[in-house]
Amino acid sequence: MDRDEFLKYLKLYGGDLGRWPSGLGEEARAACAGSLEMREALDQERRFEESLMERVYEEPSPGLEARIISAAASVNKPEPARNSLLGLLNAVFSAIPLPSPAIALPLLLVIGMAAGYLYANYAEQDTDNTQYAEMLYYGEEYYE
Amino acid sequence: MDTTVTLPLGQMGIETKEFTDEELMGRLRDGDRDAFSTLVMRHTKRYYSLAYRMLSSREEAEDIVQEAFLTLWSSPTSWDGGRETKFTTWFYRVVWNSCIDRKRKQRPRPMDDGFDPPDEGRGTEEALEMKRRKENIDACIGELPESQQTALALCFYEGVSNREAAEIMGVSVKALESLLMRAKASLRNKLGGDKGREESQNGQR
Repeated sequence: MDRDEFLKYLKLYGGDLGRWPSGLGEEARAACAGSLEMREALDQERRFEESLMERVYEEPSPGLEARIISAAASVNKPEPARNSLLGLLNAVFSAIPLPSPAIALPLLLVIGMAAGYLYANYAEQDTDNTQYAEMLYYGEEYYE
Repeated sequence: MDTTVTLPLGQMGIETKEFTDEELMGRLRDGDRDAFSTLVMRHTKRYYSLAYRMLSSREEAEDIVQEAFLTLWSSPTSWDGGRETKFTTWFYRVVWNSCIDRKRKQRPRPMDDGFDPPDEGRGTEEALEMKRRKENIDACIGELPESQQTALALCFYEGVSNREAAEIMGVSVKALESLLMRAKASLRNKLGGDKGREESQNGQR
């Protein structure tokens, strides 16, 4: 890692090398070991971050969690989701394992082909029925 | 009508502690109070911390966190567990949005001119100096644009990863990193005087 890279990452990820993305932190440590300038930049960044940590901060009141839990008592208890129609539908569909997109596409293709084949047979049968009805109406000579 | 709440503090089911947040949310949808209590106990501090960083007021931060959890209790289906978003990421976003709403509604507060008694064991001047320094940092951060403040609060103060922070804020990781760098450069400039200004200018080149 060269100087410019190090300074860029330093600004991006801060002075705690342990929080740098995996691999980069180790590289930075190794680079710092051989460069006084990088070590100084790292120290400077750490001092800056320490100064930011001095920012005013007040801990939450003791028992905030208990207060929130108690306050939930005055709020209506949520109805189990299954009680509503939407919830019921949700529960039904969530219980059915739906196929992942990788399977769904070929599955749709097969269903489509099957539907096309069945419809073709049905349409052929329908044509036969129509011809038979026309034959009865017009007489057999109509088709001869 | 049952209006009492069994506080789980003493008798929190050991089993609920073993659940992940997402599993607890599943139970919460069925009205499981222990699941709610476990989530509150587990996460209140982190969300308070973000709210405090955004609002600089303990009362308001506590209000925001309480409201967010009560909304979660009354309508747990607002979290869509089917998506890939983790509960904590989603709830950070809920709290953050509430903070933004609150900030936009609130009037600018007058500067605190009250005097807090200095810590015992420290010289008065030293304590005053520290107080001034803290307030200065707070004021400088308060002057940053909202998005930079949020990026700083999440990544620097809360230790959230850049990727998760980007997801919370609904921006790309690159945009988040740019916000962070600009926030730090501005603060260096404001807090570090001439030296910081020089560094900041170098950083922008």
